[in-house]
Amino acid sequence: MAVLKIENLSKYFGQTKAVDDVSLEVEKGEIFGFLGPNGAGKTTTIRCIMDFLRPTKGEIKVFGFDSTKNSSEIKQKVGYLPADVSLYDGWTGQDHFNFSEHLNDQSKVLSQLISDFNFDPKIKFRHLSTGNKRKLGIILALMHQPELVIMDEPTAGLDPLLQNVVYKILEDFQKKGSVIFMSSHNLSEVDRICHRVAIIKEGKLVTTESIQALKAKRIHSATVHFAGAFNKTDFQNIGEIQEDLPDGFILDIKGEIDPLIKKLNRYKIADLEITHATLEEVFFEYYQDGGK
Amino acid sequence: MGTIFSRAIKDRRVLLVIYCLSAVALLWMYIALFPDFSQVKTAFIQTMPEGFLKAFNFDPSSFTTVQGFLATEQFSLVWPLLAIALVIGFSGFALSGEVENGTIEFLLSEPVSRLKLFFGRYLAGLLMLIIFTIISILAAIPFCQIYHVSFNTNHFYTMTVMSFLFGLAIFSLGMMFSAIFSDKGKVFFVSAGIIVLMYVLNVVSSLKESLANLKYASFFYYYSPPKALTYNQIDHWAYLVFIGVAAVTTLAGAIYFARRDIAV
Repeated sequence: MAVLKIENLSKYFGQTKAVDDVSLEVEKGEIFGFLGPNGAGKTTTIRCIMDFLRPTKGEIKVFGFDSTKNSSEIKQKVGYLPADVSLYDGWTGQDHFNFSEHLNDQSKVLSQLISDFNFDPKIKFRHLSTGNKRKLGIILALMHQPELVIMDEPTAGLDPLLQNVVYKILEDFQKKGSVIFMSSHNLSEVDRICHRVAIIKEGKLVTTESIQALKAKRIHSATVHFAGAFNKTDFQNIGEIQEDLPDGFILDIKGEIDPLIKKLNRYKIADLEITHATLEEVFFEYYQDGGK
Repeated sequence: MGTIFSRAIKDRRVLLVIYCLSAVALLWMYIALFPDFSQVKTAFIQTMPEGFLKAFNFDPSSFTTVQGFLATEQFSLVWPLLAIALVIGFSGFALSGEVENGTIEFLLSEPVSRLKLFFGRYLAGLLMLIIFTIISILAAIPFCQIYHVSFNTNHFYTMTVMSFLFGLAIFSLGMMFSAIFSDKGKVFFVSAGIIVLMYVLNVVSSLKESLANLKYASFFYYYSPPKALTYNQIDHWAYLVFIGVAAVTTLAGAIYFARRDIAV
């Protein structure tokens, strides 16, 4: 059974289709990345999962429970970090922890998390820096060792050292059986810790694939240096020339690279480098033409 | 729900103490002044137009008792203002303030249903209203004893019941708007607007015979301190109107809040 199952989710705000017919499944043991630029529908989808917003169409099941009808049962197993951590200005971190512990069980990992993040729980929220507010939000999301962790931009506003702490903690949680569902703009972050990703564009899901499969898409970049004269037009049907070089070009190829090799065989080549596209290049590829 | 309830009380306790102390201080002042001012005030009130006295719940004949004096000085305008500010302030903070500040996401990410959140906050506000009503009205009894002013305890109990029902209706109205709006300013504006309109309707209805029926649309017609404090009476319609409005608006607010989008 999928831990999180979204079926044909649509959320409209008047005429605006914030999320349009999105379906995806997140399985046990996964760290799942939800990729897309601002306004793509990531946060709206997450808010529907958390039952802050009610779907216009479709349904969301978390641990087999309906996200709307069984919202409070689901939240016993879910830890949530919003994109902007908004908490009570007059409360200290400890007040927030106490409040959460009254509504759940006593946390077994709170002291460890406070120590890992080097967080001072005695300071009032209004006096915390942006990074420390984020730390508090992350600790609150993780303190009850949730079976599903939903995070909207988990490392936004954190320095690289703290980002690494977050990655390590998330990986530890995943190893202990938690499922992580995180939205992100940060492709290197997704590349580093996620097992699968979904890419959302203008409210529609473009693809859901494993990181390896996404990177293994036959998107290549070929840097060719010719030893003599060459005719650039010979290569225009094979791929898209990204950059002209004094003695060659850089060519992006989608699909088979065999036609390129056959074409190059007609020329004297001084140097040739063919690389797989990075996740970032794959991502932009999806955004340029919808991944088709 | 207990955590939501107790935390709401804890967060607003200083405000409650300020409101209670303000109301008690005013009560103390009026009771302390009553023996000296009662005769002067009676003569002054008798010079005022009858319509004006009626509109503002002034009862000239009631100035011979401390109950009548307090009904006019404290409970016709000052107490309702304090009670309205307290309950509307609380209701604005209770739900729409949470949405406006973004803290609703923290609350709703915990295993708490929307209805529990609504009623946890509702009960907290209700308790604050009860505490405020009891302290700000029944404090008159020890002050009357201290200043050797004769009084009837039952009249203050009746006043407490009527005032509580008046506060309950306004609080429930505020909670309904708090469940609907995502901006506490709108809750204050709409609730205050309705209350001012009701006050105006009550005043206008007493000034012109043809508009007399408008008074039935006003809480201020049913909330009658002279009647409660001087004559120990509450209009039977007051129970129906205040409890009816409270029940309908609470139910409507709870249902709407359970179904709405909580967009931050």
